[in-house]
Amino acid sequence: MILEQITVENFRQFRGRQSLQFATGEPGKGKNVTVILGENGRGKTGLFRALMFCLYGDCSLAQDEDVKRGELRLVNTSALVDASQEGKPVHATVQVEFSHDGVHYDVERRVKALLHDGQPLEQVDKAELRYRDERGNTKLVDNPSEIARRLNGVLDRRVREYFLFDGEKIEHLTRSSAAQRIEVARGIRCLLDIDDMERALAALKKLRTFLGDELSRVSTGEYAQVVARLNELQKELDARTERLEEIDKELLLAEAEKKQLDDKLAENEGVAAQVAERKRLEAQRDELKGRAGELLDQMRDRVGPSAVLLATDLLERVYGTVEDKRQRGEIPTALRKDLIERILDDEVCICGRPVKPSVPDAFEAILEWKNKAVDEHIENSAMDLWRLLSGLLGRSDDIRVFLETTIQQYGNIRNSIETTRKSIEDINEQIGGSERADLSKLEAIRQGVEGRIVRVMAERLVVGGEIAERELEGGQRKARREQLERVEGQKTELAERVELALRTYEALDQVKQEFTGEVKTRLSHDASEVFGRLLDEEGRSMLRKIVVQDDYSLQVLDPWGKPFLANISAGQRQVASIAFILALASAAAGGEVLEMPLFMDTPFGKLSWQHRENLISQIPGAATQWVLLATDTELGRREASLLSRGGAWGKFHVLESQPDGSTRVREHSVSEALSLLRNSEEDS
Amino acid sequence: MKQSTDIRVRTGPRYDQLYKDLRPYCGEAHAVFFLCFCLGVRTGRRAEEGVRRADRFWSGTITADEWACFYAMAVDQKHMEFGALDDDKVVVRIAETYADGGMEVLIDELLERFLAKGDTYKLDTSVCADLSWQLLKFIPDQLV
Amino acid sequence: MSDIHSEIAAKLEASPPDVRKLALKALELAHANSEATVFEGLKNWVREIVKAGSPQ
Repeated sequence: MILEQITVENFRQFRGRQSLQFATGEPGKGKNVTVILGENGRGKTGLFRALMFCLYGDCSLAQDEDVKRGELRLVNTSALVDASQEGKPVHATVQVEFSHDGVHYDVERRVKALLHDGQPLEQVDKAELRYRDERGNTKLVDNPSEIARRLNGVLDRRVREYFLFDGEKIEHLTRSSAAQRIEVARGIRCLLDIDDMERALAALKKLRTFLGDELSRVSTGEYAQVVARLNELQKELDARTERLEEIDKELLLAEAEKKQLDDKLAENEGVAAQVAERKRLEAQRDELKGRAGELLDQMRDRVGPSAVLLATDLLERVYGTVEDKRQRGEIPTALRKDLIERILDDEVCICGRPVKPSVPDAFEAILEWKNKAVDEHIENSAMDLWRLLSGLLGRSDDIRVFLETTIQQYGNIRNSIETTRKSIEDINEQIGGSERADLSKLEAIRQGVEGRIVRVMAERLVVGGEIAERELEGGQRKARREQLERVEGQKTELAERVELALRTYEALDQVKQEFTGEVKTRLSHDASEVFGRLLDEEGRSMLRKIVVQDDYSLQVLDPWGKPFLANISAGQRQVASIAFILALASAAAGGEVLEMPLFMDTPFGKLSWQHRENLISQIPGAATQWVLLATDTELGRREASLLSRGGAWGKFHVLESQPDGSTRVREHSVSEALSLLRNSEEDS
Repeated sequence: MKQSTDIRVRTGPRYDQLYKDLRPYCGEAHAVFFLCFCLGVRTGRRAEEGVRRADRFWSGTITADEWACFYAMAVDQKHMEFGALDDDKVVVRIAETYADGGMEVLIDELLERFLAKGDTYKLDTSVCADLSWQLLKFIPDQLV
Repeated sequence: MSDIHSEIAAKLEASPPDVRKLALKALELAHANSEATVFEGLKNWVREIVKAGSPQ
């Protein structure tokens, strides 16, 4: 999408019909930066709203979440008042012209408003999209859902926040609610065209099940039973895997809900301290539970090996016996049994003395040796056993110590968890027993949510176990099926189709995992690189990497690889978001520059000079179009001068306040900018 | 002392589900078997030889330490005749009787309160959160 | 974004020819069709591929 022009009429602060052109040069070569300067309240956000309203029909922005719907007006107030004095309605219109993939688009949306009993009533009464088709004919679309479909094809609604964003609330990207993350993840997958793969996989999965059922119907005997059971197992696995995904989403949403309730409770001075303490205790409890879980895993692996302590008496007894025989020279024998038998057969000892019954001393001595001697291999086994037992008995002290230590460690953690749990319960009662009905009600809701989380997590464990069980059985059944097919000597054509569908699903699923893994790694890598270039020196020392997590949310790592997002400043958070957006745009465009405008509403507010400098020098080359809305405290002469030297600055508009409180857009040349702007104060 | 890998180790059929259920808390079947064997040895509780048992796992999964204990028992049973080390099948059969005996001890003295109601031995996973710990604690408790 | 499709096709190089054929067909159908349509299409394709692959 390359923005060409926006025209507003009686929309928000903009009275009358006004237009604004965007710079549309080629990145790196032409001028692709548009700056729109205006004081707070002059309409910068109004322009952003106009764009969102026109393209997507949005009547509110993310920052409006605290504002009630009815209070937000799109129509210019003074125009409305004037018109109603004449008994007429007013129309607020926004028209946006842009091009995308060589096609020119013209979108227009209109709101009709009138004052009724002193109350403004607004209603969207027109939405039109005009575009030129391949033959150069202009087509008109006025069906809102068809308009939405086409515009989503240009820039999917779910990822628009990435390219068209409001700097004050850019934090949403890195502090987004769970529900938003899920939505955004879907949008990104769409942007990267992973949707196709997912559709193909879903169809293959269906095919595999369908063919499996067919095969089961036509098979006989044990083969039929095995195939039927495999199909059943697959369906059960599919259902449980889906349930697991649902559970994860439920957990995310429940956690987010809990956080919101906590935030609301924390607003009340009476319980703020307790809410904070409870939060700390819950974090402590979760950490303890994590450690307990790890210990349990360790203990599971130690139960078998530790059981040997129960058999120590037996081992010592047997070891003792073998050791005695060893000491007495009976094992290994000084004389091997086969040698003794040869001596008796030959009737002569190795020293030459005759060995026969008629020479009793020698004969009896040899016979005694023979009775004590054992076969060589049994002798070897006895020695092996002696060695094994020796090692095992030698380790038994270590096993005992480890056992006692681990048991105690876990016991301590369990006690700590219990203590923490009681403290949390006490606080719950305190907050719940508050005299204020609204607080106790909020608390009751919160406890309900917490209860739901506990139940869902327990269900997650159970479902996880059921999946493991079925996978194990599935493996065994597959082996049996293959065995039967080998015995049969051939596979039916239908069985081959089932096999092919299954193998294809698995192969494509594997590719998808690899691909999405690679995309996330690439995004992380590219975002980290841009991040490094955009950060100031202080930032670079503290922050090393951006990581794209499984749910496509962002995390920032410190030089030791520890998550650091919660500790970074708002400015650094913005820079991280911008770095990610640039990386995403690059990934979506296959390494090229994505044809999408970066429309930033006051991005500099929280950024240091170094950050601003870095952004100004990096972004024009990295984005097809950069539209920068700024106040004059954000964009002073210093910034303007740097922008100008970059050579990419093409358009400059100033939003001027009018006596009647409305705003007029006035275009100036870039060269005038320096004289119009004041010296901005340097950030420390 | 070949430590054969191709012997099917068997246990009483009524412990079928328990061996599966204990996996998350005690590990693979051979580890459960070994725990029960050691319990059987410790308490002298031993099931009968020659009764029908169900295939449980391959002897290839038995560790060297576990084999050492099975061999020790076989030798002990045969009055310290080291010839007993020759036939792994016999060694395993002897171990099976102690394992089944030990499983009865485990059920009586520990697992009882973790079992689901019903005719067959089956764990009630909702109360088994720290069963690994309980199992581990059970060992030194038996040594007193 | 055919870039991504060719990347995926490259990853499927390592798969056996019949798997590769079916996977690419599935992707091709999925590009412009609903899941239900892809499924119907694949029912025939899997039969064709297996027939073509079996010894005469």
